[in-house]
Amino acid sequence: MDELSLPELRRIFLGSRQSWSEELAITVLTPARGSPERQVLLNKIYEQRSEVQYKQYWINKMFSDGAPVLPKSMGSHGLSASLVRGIPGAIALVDSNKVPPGVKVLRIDGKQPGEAGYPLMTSR
Amino acid sequence: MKISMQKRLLGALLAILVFLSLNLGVHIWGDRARTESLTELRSGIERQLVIGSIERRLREANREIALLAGVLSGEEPGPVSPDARQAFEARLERIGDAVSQERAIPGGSTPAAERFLAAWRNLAVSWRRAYGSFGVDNERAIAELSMRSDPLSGTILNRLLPAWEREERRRVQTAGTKLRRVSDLTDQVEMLFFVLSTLVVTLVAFNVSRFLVDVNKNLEGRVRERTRELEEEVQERRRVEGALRQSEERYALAAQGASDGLWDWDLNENEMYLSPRWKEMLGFGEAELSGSPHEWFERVHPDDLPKLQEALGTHSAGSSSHFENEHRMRDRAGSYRWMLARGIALCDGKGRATRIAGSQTDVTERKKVEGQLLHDAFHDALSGLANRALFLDRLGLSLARAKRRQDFHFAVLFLDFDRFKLINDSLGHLVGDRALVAVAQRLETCVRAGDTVARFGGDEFAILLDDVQHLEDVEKITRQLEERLAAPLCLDGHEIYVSASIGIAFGTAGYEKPEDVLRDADAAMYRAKALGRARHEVFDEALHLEAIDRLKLETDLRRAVQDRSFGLQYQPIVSLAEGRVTAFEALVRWRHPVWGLVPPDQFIQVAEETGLILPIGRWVLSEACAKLKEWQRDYPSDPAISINVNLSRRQLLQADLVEQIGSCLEDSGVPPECLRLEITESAILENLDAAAELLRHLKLLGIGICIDDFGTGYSSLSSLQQFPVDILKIDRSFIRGMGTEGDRDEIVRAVVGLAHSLHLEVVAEGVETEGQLACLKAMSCEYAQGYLLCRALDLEGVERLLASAAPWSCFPPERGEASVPA
Repeated sequence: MDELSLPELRRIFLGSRQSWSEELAITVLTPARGSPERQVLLNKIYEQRSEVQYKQYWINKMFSDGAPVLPKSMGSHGLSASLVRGIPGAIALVDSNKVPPGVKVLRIDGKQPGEAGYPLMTSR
Repeated sequence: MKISMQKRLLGALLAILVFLSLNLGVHIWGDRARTESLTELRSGIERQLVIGSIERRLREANREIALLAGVLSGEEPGPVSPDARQAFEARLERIGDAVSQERAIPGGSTPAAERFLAAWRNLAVSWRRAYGSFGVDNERAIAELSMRSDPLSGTILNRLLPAWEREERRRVQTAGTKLRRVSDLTDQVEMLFFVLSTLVVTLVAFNVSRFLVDVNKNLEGRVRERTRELEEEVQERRRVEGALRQSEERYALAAQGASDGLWDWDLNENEMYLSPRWKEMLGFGEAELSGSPHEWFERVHPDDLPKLQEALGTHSAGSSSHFENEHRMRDRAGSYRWMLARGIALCDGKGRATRIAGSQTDVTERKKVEGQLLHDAFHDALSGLANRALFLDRLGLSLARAKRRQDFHFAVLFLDFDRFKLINDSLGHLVGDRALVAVAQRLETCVRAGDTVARFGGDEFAILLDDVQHLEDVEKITRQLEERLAAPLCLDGHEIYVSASIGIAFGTAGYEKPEDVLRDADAAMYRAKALGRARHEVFDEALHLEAIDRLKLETDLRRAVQDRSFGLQYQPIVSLAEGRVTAFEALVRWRHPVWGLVPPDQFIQVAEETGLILPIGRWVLSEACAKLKEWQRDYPSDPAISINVNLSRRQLLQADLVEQIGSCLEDSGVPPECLRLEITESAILENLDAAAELLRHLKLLGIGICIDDFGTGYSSLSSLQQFPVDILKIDRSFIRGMGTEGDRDEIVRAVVGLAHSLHLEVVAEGVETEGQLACLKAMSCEYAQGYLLCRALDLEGVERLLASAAPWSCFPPERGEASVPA
C-alpha cells in the first residue's frame, strides 16, 4: 500500500476502516494535543472539528459501534515515529520532515507531502 | 347374583388400578425427563447469562483501556493513579469471578470455554502490563495494547465470545429441543395412556354401569312389581273398605229404611246394646231398658224362648252361618208382636263367639198376612170350612194311620145338595151363599171333635169321620146329619128346605190314596142321587164293580183317543117348509174293538170328566168341516148345506176355543155361516159369563149358534135374550110327549112362538111320529130331525142322500126304521 485517497484516509482515521487486510489490523496513532499535526488532523481529516467534537465523536462511536479500537493519542512526535515503525499496520500523521527511517510515507490523492495539491498541507 | 356382582366390581376395580399405575409411571418418567431437560436448559441459560456478563465486563474494561490510551487522555497518558489501578484490577477480578462462576455451572467447561479462558488470561496479563506501563512507558503501553491487547480483545470479543455464546445457545436450544421432545413424547405417551385409560375406564364404567343398570333394572323391576303389588293391595284394601263402607251404609240405610232395630250383645261382658229404634218397636223410650240381655229374653213369649235360645246357641257354637229367628216379643202394653231377629257372631282367634250383633224387624203384619194366606190356602173362603186340599191332607193322615193300625177305621161322607141351584136362581147368589154358610154350620155341629168338615166348592161338602169302629156308627152319624139338614133354613124371611145326597166310603187300609177314598164316596153319592136324592148310599161291591167298569172305560177311551177310534154319523135336519135337507148334525161314535159302535151317551160323560172330550171335540169339528166342504163341492145347493157340531161344557172353558174354530174353518174352507155350534142350555147356564163372551166372539166370526136340549135347563127364553143365539133345539122329551100329553103341545107351541118373537128359528129334535111332524108344521116350526125323517147316516148314506137331489120325502127309509110320509 503506497497511496490513499483522502476519503479513504478519513475512513481510517474516523474508525470506519479498521484493518488493512484480514490479517492486519490498522492501529491509528494520532498526534498529541496542541501539535500542528493535530490541527491538520482536526481540520483536514476531521474537517474542521474541534477537540471537544473529536472527543464526543469517538465516545459516541465507542458506545454505538461496540468496542472499536480507538486511535491512540501520542504525546510526542518521536513516539509516533517509533510506534509506527514498531507496530505492524500502524498509521500516524506526522510532520513530513520528521519521518523516521523505515516508515513508509503514503501518497494522498496521488500527492507526496510537499507537492502542490497535497491535501494535508498545513496552513502556515 | 351377589357373587357375580362382586366379581365384576372387583375386576373393574383392578383394571382401573392397573391403568392408573401405568399412567402414573408414564407421568413420573415424563416428569423426570422434563426435569433433566429443564435442568440442562436452566444451566445453559445461566451460562449464557454469565457469558453475557463476562462480555459486558470485558467491553467495559476494553473501553476503559481504550479511553485511557486514546480519546480521554488529551495528552500523552501519564501514570495511572493507584485508585484507578485498583479499580481496574477489581474489574478484572470480577471478570475472573464471572469466568469462575461460569465454570462452576454444570457443563460450563467446554472447548470454547477453555479457549476463551486461555485468551482471557492472556488479555488480562496484557492489559495489566499496558495499564502498568501508562505514565511509565507509554510507548510500551500503546505497543502492548496495539499489538497484544487489542488483537486479543478483538479475538475474544469478536470470535471466542460469540463462538462460546453460540455454543451455549446451541446447548440451550438442544436442551429446549430435548425438553420439547421429551414433553411431546411424555405428552403423547400420557395422552396414549390417558386415551387407553379413558377407554378402559369407559369400558369398565360402561360394563359397570350396564351391570348397575341391569341391577338397577332388576331392582326397579322388583320395585315396580312390589309397587304394583302394593298398589293392588291398596286398591283391594280400598275396594274392600269401600265395599265394607257401602255395605255398612247400605245396612244402615236398609235398617233405617226398614225401620229395623239394632242389637249388639257382648258375650264376654254379657252386656247388650239395644238401639233406640229397637226399644221404640216395643213401645219403650230411649232411656228405658238396661244394657242387660235379660231385657230382651224376658220379653220373649215363653213358647218361643226355647227356639230362640237354641238358635242363638247353635250360631254361637259356629254350627250355622248366621242367626235368624222369629219369635213373639211382649211390648210395653203387654201385647205380643212378632219379631224377626237376625245377626251374626264375631269370634276370637280360638273360634269362640265373643259378640253377636244384628237387627230386629217387626214382622207382625207379615205374620198376620201369612197366617191369613195359610188359612185361605186350606179353608173355604165362604164357609170357613176346610177346603179340598186340607181335607185330602187330613184324609191322607187317617189313611196312613189306618195302615199302621188294624183296628183304626175312618169314613168319608160326600154330600151334594139336591137342586141347590134352584136357591141361587130363585133367591139369588147372596141367599144361596148364606144358605151354604148355614148348612156348613149345621154340618159342623153334627160331627165330633177331630172330625173334618170341608166344602169343595158349590154345594159339594165332604166329612171325614175319624176313628170309627163300624159302618153302623157312620150311618148313625149320617142319619143325624140328614135329620139336622131337614130342618128348614130361615134366610131373609124365606123358609128354605134343603136335602143332600150323601155318599159314604168306609175307609180301610185297602186304599192307597186319599183321592181313591174320595172317588168312591163320590160314586156312592151319585148312586144316592140316581136313586132319588135326599138319601145316602154306602160304597159297596156293586159300586166297586161299577167303578172298575168306569175305570176300564176311561182306559179304553184314552186308548181310543190315541188310536183315533172314532167316527162320525150325520143326522139330517130337514126344513119343514121346503121338505129338504138343509143341514146335518154331526154325531160322534166310538168304534170299540169289543162293543162295536158305542153311542155318545155311553162315553161322553166320562170323556167330559176326564177331559178327553177336548181332543175328541177337536177331531169332530175338524172332521165334520172337512166332510161338509167335500159335500158342498160335490153336491152344491142354494143355500149351501150346513153342519151342526156339538160343543161340550168342558170345551166352552177352553181359552183358545175361538182360535181353534177359526183355524178349522180356515183349514177346511167352510164358510162360517155354514157351521152351527150346538151348546146345551145347561152348559151355558153353568158358565154364564164365559159363555156370553165366547158366543159373542163366535158370532163375530159369522158362526151360527144353537141352544141344544132347550127346556131341560130351567132357563127362560128371556135369559137367553142376552146371547147371540140363532136357533133353538127343543129337547126330544117335549117332542116325545106331543099328541099324547096335551100340555106338551102347548109348551112346544109357546116355545116356538116365543122363539119366533125373538127372531129365533126352531129345530124339533126326536121327531118320531107323523102326528108330531104335523103339529110342528102347524106350529110353523122351521126344522125337524128324528127317526121319522131319517136316522143318523154314515158317509155313504149322506152321499146317497145328497146325490138323490130329491126332497126328503123321496128318500127311502134308512134301515127300515123310519117311515116316509107322502
